[in-house]
Amino acid sequence: MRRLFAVLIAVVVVAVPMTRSLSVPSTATAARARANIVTITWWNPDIVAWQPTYQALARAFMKQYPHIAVQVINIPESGYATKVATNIAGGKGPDVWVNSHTPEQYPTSPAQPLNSFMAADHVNPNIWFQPAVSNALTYKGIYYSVPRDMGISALAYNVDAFNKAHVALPTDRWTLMDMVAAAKKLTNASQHHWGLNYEGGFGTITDLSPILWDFGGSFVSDDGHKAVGYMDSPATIKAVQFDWDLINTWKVVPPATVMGSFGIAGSSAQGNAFLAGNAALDPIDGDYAIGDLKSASFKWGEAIYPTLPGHPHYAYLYPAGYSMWRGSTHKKEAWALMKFISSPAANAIVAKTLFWTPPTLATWKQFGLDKISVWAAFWKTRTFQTKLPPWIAAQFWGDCTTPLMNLSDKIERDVVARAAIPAQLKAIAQKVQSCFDRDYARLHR
Amino acid sequence: MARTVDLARPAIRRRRGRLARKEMLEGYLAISPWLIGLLVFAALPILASLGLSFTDWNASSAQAPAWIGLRNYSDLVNDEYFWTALRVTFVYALLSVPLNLIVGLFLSMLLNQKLRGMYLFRTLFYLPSVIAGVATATLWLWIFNPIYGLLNVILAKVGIAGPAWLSDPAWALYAVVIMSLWGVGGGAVIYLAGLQNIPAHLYEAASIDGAGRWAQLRHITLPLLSPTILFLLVMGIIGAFQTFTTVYVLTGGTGGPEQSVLFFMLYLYQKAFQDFQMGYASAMAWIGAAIAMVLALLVFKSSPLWVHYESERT
Repeated sequence: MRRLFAVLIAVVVVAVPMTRSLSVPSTATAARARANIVTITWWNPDIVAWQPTYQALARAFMKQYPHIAVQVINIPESGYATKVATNIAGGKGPDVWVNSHTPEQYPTSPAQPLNSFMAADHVNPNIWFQPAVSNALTYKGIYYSVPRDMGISALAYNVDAFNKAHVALPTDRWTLMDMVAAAKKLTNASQHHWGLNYEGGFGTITDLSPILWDFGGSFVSDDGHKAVGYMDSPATIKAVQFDWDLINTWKVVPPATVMGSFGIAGSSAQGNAFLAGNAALDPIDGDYAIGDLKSASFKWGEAIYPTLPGHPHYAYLYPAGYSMWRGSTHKKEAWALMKFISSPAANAIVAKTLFWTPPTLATWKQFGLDKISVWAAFWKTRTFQTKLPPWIAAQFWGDCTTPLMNLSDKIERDVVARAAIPAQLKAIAQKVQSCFDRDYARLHR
Repeated sequence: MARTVDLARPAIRRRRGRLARKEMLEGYLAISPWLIGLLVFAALPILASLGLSFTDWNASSAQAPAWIGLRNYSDLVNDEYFWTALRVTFVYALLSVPLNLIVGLFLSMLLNQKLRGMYLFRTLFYLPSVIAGVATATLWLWIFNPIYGLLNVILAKVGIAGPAWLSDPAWALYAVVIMSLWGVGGGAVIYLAGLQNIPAHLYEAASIDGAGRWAQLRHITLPLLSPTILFLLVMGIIGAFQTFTTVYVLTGGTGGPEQSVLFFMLYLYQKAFQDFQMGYASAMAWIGAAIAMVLALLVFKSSPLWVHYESERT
């Protein structure tokens, strides 16, 4: 009997604190409940340096809406999508979060359609936001996200490196061949200097995609369903062969094997040849580059990403967006936050730190960003035609394009001949198409 | 007297039965927190994953799982990367498990020497096996760097141009096999316990009979260590199939150049937590578990042929 009693005591000692912590709200939560303050959560995957800007936005919002408390929660990028998905699946999703779904996924995603909220508050996104950002945030005319930024392509250059090599600085009239010519003059592999930072991997803003569109090529159709006829088109083949030439003919790009050794470990320059001062040119995404460029130890500038002579410029554009969870129990409050943080008023806070490019036209005008030389390239690029990047257009890009990424890897290691690229792309297009067809069939089962 | 005992026996049996039941109940109560944890955090999720393996469920969507029967399993059979992941894992197991067994045995025999400071050597060789996988992989990422890594620098000093290791599909898997030797100290310590249980008089008697070191190894050490080898072999096979953390860090979760180090668990992770195909990944998990179980059973089935237990001799 005594033994049984001892065992029961042990179970109670273990179990009671656990149930108590589950059922009794914390002191802060209880205090907010008493004051009728609604608390909403706002998740982001961004770097530590950006968090003060997020906190400043939250404080400004709470000042305007004292009955709403905002918890800004930063989750490391590498586990962010998993954490969002698992929390939503567990019924504990964020009220507002930086969303990475493709437009085609929006209707079945956890993102709340926003048109009714916009209409009720008379928000006209075409006036408020840079028009080009709407592409990535809508599906069949319905908004599922509001833009956080205007992630847009440009070409950054190391002014000091150009001056030291006595090479004329890039201009907005540069063509791709002007870029190659300058990169050749700036390359001295024995001194660990290269002309162009080219991070590898097709389909990314920092690699082939801007060039691909300049050539008139495309990896997938605009709706992302087709690879055959696009991935193996003559224009795409020429663009991929241009990629091959950059790496293996003109050798203006650092070898993949040394990429990881650039920069000091833990710094924003780690693994980045441009920020480490080892590459003179860098195709950049305005979103993530501007914050990093602030830490550059050299003078830098930006130009419009060049194209081929006689070919139109494309804006390679992918904005991050804020979405509302369909399962949120505070939708009114979540919308209030989203409306605020994507407004010109909030983006005025962003413009003061400029860790990301504000998506609101009025903010650019207010702060004269369209006139500042290092920002003018983004401002001009936003007027160019654009399409959805391939990995956004095709919702099964990640699942199906491994063979294409393998080709990119083989090109970097110079184990595939330039002449073999057409046959390789033809075979890859077939494989990717089969995978797309299988995945779409599964989707519509 | 006998009558008294005979009359008392059913009562004694009843008392003993009640006591045994009481003790059993107390025992179950005592382990109930662990049992509840096992059920809630292990058994139920395992059963749930079996159910999920028959559904199509994208965890990042707002849609509920949809029943599709055996479709996930049949899709796996036609999935090129599933077979790649299996092949990579099998080849890794075929190379790393025997290598670790042999090197571990050799190391334990060295650590079994009666030398001053041997405890220090045992500690130093054991320490790497308790370092976290992420830290180990990050360290080896730099050791394998083709230009600045320690390995290629040393090879260059002896006139050998080292390969690109993790950047070369022909060498990436060998790099991971080499890395697996980092934890060989853990197995060596287990061997050491086995070695120290071998009676010294057996070696003395063999020595008197003229047996050399090699004969002693073959006829005394290995047979008496065979239960330990069996244990390490089964754990090694299971461990090979569970390899994930190190290859995730080494390849950034991509599986390396041309999927040369796309291990089974890494591909499962990609399907579950990058593509969010939970049903598909659950089917993979059950196939992986079945394969590991079959392999372990095969090893156990073969054990009577080569494992010798001390108790069998008495």
